[in-house]
Amino acid sequence: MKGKVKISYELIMFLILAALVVLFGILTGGIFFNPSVILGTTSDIAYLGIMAMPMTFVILTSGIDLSVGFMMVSSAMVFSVVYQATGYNLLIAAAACLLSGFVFGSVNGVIAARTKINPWLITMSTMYIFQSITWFFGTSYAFSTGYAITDFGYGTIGIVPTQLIVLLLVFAVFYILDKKTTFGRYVHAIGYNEHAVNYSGVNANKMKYFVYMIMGVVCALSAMMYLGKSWQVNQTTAVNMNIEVIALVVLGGTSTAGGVGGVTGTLFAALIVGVLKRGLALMGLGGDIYNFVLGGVLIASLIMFAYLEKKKKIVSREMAIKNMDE
Amino acid sequence: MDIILKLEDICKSFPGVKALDHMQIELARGEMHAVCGENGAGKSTLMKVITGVYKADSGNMYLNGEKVTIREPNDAYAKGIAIIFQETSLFKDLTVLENIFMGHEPVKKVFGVIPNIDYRAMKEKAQQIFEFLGIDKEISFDAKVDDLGVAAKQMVEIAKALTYDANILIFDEPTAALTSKDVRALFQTIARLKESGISMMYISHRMEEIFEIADRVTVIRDGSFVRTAAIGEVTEKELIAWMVGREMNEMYPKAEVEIGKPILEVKNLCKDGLLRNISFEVRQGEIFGVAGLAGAGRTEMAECLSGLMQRDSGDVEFYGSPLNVKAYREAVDAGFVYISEDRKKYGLSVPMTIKENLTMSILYKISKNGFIDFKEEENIVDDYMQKLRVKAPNREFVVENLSGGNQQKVLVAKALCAKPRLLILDEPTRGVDVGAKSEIHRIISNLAKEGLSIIMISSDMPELLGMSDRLMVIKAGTKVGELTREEFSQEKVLEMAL
Repeated sequence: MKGKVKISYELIMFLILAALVVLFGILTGGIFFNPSVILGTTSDIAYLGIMAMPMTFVILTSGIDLSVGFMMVSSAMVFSVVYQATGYNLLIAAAACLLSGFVFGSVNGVIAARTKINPWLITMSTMYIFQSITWFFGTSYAFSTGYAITDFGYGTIGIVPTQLIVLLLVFAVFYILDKKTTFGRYVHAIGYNEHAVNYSGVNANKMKYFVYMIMGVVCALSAMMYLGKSWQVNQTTAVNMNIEVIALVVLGGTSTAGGVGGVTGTLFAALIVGVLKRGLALMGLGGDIYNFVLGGVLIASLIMFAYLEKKKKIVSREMAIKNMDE
Repeated sequence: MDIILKLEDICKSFPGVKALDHMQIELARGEMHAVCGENGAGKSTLMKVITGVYKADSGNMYLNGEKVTIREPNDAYAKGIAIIFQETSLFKDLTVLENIFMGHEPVKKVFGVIPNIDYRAMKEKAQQIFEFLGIDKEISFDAKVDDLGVAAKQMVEIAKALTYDANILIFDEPTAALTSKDVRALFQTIARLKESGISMMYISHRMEEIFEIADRVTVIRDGSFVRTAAIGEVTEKELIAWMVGREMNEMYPKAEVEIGKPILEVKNLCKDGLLRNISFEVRQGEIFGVAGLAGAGRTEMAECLSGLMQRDSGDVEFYGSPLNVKAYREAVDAGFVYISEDRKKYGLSVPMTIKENLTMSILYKISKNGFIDFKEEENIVDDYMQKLRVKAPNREFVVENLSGGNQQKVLVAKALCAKPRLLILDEPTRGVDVGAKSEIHRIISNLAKEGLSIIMISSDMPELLGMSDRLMVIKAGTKVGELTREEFSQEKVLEMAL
């Protein structure tokens, strides 16, 4: 074990990311190596990547949240309404937006914590409720340049897009939560064996509530970025967005069975998908090709992940047998 | 005697346990043969070998004098051997008729080619069987099994066995969930089956039932054959003595401990359907044993005390103040720690590391604003791993890959690092090999010496008698009695528990 570099899933993800950048760089005749282009790849996926961080936590507890897309769009609409009503007061609008995300997430959280209903069913049902809220608000909300919100979503600091910075900040927060805090430990433990958590005097239901609540709040944060980037939202914006977020988490090596995984893989997955999207677009290939490639990458990563997990099991079993003999 | 089924030299091992050790049994035609033994003696394993659920490692089986091997449950059915399990194996959303022919429905060909279920033939045969069992008036063919009571479900199981033309029926504790009225009905059915020449095996804990309906009885102990006797030639006392059998040959490291004042007083603990008016007290430094059959309510009692389950009524006083916990965390904070009997389900999270498991219940104590103090965590883990001599390469080792004994030590360490004032151990040595077992006993004994009070729930009789200072016996949710160490004897405890 010692001295050898351990082949982890994260390392493989990093290598794939590097290989893709090089590949697209060559295929596009060097355009892709331009710093503004390569950093810009994140602008297509940052809002998804941000939501994928708390989604990683949700899936680590062996839960799921299908309502993320419509939570995001509903809170974006809350933002828009308040933003216009207050004469473009960013602070009040942002607070209202985050509050709505908190409320939406809490609805999921309370039901997930208080009942034994499968999270698939809970969040599928609440998804329809959040969707109907978007219809209640109306058709479309748009902002053009010159508003503070578009600077937030579209601007850059130096050559680094604001979006990338927000993504990395959110990642850092969740990374610390995962690795350094009791909450992170409990999240993994709930996914592995919820009974054992309860029998340790830890309130697993409370933790589950927090996980879903945080999911809602981060959806609201993502909503503001999305508004700034796309300048508008409407009722169809969120269609399939939940699947896109979940795909990032799964691609990042977090197991839907719960327990195994982490946010580092999710970050790499988001970056890889961003590079794929932009790279293919620069080569003049459309969305259909992108979907084909993304599906292939997902399947390949799942097979590889299963293989690595099996290998890890064999190695640790061998260690266990050696331990018995001593 | 006309022997229909005979087993010789049957051995069956599971990892770390010898479940059956040169076991033998013979069943005469038309006989009702009772099989009895303590919890975990190997009765159910034996029945599973006979019905092909398990394959014996070695040994022979003869059916009507011919040597046979039964590879799987369907083989057993084909040879006329059927078992009525403790928990019914029926499909609850299907009808009675569909259930009793499940897997071997009579088939007729439509237009001579398309196979189709022959409901008419099914009904005719079912009618015969139901009339024979005397249940044709009571149970409708089209009733959904889920809507039937426990007793009716059992009758459907018996009917199902008869559709295979079974001539050997095995009952695994059939009366465990029945009311006394249903038991009478079952016995009538059994008498009817016996009249028609069907041979039966009957596993039961209930002495009075064995003496009422059995012709002969075979006693099994630690997976080995003890004796077979005709029921008229044996007394209940003798039977219990055979079941207990073994001498107290294992040495228990029982330390002399000065026993102090009562620290826990429980008065009239009640939980609907599980516990009735249980009262007892535990003293400082005492090991208080709790005996009883599986399902008597021992674990439920522990859970009601520690807040894992809410009690209906009853007063609990711990160190002079009432202990009314709503959640297990409050009990842990008060120094009242429970170690579950089911290590892998409730006790530990086996895919996680030793470190993560060990500190799970004290994580909040060794963290500041939610941030874990890793240095302190590692110190605590190393300290307890050393103290309890957990054999593992390092603290990051995954618990799944530890031996049963070492897993149990991690579980005990997890409880101890919460600094308990009273520890409830539920089956502390279940699934643990002999060496680790005595090591765990030594640990328990040392803890008592240090002044810790311990409630020990165990089905392992020698362990319970060897370790306890005092013990109470629970039967069907009620306290039957209490014994002091001088009064201890396995026969007495078993007599009270049965």
